[in-house]
Amino acid sequence: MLFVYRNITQLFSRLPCTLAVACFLLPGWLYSQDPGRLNDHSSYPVLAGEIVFPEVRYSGSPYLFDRFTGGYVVLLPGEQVAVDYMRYDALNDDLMWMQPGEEGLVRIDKKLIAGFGLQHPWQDSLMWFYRNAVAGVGGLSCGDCFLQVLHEGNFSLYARRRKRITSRSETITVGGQSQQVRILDDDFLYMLVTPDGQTKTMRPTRRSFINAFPGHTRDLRRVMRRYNIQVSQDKELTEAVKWLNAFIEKEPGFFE
Amino acid sequence: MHNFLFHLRKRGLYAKSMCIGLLISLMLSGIYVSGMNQVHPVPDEQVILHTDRDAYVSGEELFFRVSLITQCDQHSSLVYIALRNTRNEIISGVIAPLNHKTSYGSIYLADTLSTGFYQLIAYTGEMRNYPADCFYTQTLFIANRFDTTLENLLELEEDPYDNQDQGGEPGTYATPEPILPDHTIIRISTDKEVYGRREPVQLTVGAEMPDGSTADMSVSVTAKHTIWPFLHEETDGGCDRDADRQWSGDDGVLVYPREKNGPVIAGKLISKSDEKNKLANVRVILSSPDTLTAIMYAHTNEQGHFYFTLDPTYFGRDLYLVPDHGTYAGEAPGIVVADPFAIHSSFEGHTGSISVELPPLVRESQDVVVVQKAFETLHGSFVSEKEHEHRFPPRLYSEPVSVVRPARYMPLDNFREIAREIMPSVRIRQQNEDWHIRLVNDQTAYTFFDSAPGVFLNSMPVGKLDVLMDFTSEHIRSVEVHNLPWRYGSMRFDGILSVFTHDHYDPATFLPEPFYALPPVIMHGKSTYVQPDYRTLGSEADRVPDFRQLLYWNPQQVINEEKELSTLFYTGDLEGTYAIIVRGILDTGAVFQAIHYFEVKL
Repeated sequence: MLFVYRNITQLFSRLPCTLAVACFLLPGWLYSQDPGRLNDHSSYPVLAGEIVFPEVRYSGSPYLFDRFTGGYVVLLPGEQVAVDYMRYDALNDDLMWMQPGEEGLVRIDKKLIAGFGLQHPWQDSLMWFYRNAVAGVGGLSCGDCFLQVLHEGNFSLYARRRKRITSRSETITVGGQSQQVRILDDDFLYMLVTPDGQTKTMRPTRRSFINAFPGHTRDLRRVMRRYNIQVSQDKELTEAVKWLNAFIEKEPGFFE
Repeated sequence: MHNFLFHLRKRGLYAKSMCIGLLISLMLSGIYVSGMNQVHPVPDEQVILHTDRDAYVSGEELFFRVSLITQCDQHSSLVYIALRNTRNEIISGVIAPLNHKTSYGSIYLADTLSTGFYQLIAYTGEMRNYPADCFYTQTLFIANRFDTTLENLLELEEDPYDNQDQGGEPGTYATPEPILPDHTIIRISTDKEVYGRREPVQLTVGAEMPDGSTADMSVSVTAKHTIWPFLHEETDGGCDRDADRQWSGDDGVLVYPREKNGPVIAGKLISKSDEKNKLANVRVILSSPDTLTAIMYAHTNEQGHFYFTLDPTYFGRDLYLVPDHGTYAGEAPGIVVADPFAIHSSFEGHTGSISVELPPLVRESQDVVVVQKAFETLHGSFVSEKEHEHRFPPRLYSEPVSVVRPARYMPLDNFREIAREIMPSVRIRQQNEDWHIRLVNDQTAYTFFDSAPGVFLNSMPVGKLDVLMDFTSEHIRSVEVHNLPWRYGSMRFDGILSVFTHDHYDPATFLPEPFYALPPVIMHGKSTYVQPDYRTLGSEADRVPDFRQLLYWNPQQVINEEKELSTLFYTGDLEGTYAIIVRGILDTGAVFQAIHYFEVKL
């Protein structure tokens, strides 16, 4: 009781200050209210797709990120549609959209879209995926895949973010019932597109990066060492490609 | 913070700072609240239109150039141009797409136009929120080619003695005055002052203007008597700031948005029994006959208004609006769609007198056009081919689950039989004269959906299934069965059944009631004036009369202090005085006009 009384007296002693702060915040609040705000129905992005109710069939998530994040879907005319909740099903190469209050998820009809930008759940960045970003890539098991654009320049880097079903299995409990399911694992593939249009697949390692340039491996290793270019994860691989573009601009005869 | 407040108190500034802060805060709130209820006193956009001439004969083409003046980056992408007569009937309506805030083209003046004064009006969609005095207007004269009496013109002839009494010169009419902003000189020169028949004219247009300025202009070379300067004096001076605005926010009047990405179809749903009842959040579907299942939809706002920014797919096609009955309760609403060419002002024509010199000159023009129409011409408008644009109709699905083509099977007598025999995932039942269709859910492969699928005929929603049931195998080209629980934006379908027929069927026979049929929205193609080039034409061209009154028309030319226009055109077979009229806009928004004359003697 004493605590409540003390709080109330404190509030009243600071009342002018509180009122002032409230008045200062009033315009900001007013401006944040969009008079032409959309009503419930029109807030749905105009996307088409099948309504599905995904089942747990594997151990591990089939999604690139388990959390729903916001982002944009690029329709075929190039128009971007903002979506609040979506996630990328890396196992089936599908984009899933969720509308709060609606049953199930929507598996977006991928032939009606060009790509999407997915908000990274832990980083303040969008991951842009495009359908068939790289034409005719050897080693791709799907003919119509979403590929992530990591960097585009003279040398461009793309990634296929897939999940694969491993031969390993484990027992999980779903709805009180135990079942033996296969384990899912990441299956990422990186593709470097050279200025002459050739595509080379690689892993995010220094050796793999250097081996993508047969005939120049020794020189490239030496230059990379000189510039202290490390490649041990995909962010570093992207940086290495950016560095390579800058380096080639400075020394155009390097690969000749 | 406490130290800061302490210092303020100590200096006696605490109360003062607080008061100033509160004042600013209240001012900002006030501005916001007033902004909610008021509109800009004048539109952010202004349109200026120039034509090749002022006087025409029916059967000729009117060439125009239209410019948008605005400081906004996100400006309108198109301009409406309407030609109306003194009975305020719209003779021709054109939607001109803007490119870098300008557009140009031509309007064919039909042979049936009666002799009289006409008004050309240009405005953007957003300007329709303001009174018509904010629109750009220009008065024109059009003579019917076969009207030999010219009664409508003769009744305006001035009495030469009246004019003499006022100190004026009888039987003359004024020539256009140059309009030049400060520090700007437009130089027009030709290589000679007098030319012969079909002789090349070397024209140069240069400018002296402040550093870095550019002039965007049109250049017209036409017979002097086709320029009637007194008609330009009638162009009113712009918006009446004190007039009542049509746009008033919450009073239910349709507010037209700025058409940044294409033409907008604006309309509203009204309750037939209670006009005050605002039908909010009702889905309105826009469809058009098509070979793909594609629709657009919009939801009404709190005022019951709806807006569609039209996708290029729908240009030039019949359009149909249908309110989705699943999104409103009670009686079917009425649909009102704003006519973009409805102009709420009146035009009375030229009310002043005209020079006695003009009627004989108009008759001369009529004769010239009659001759030109009788022979092959070496000039005219040329519509440039539109750039190939990829069109992506707003499709409901990319591929159906299955497609059935009845022609591949034994002929069947009706749609119910077709469904029963060759579409196993479709079930049709009849109860109390009503038809019911259900699809098998392809996700389960054995259960039917609880509710009816979305049924489309040639891409338009079907409200009357009876029409569909009469179709035999001969009528139907294909049936797309998309039996999946499907979402299209805010629409949810328990499967989609889309029927395509060989022949066109009148949508009025099957669309759900009520529906609204819209005329096609046609974007005006850019057309240029093609003049004969006697350097390349052979001797056969000598046998074709060249009675052009318009010798040259260039609707889009940019000049500055360093870059001038230097061009060549040919005179025709008509002698007389010709005027070179340069009209345009400086990049400061100031308009200018400059004139130069030359003679053609045969």
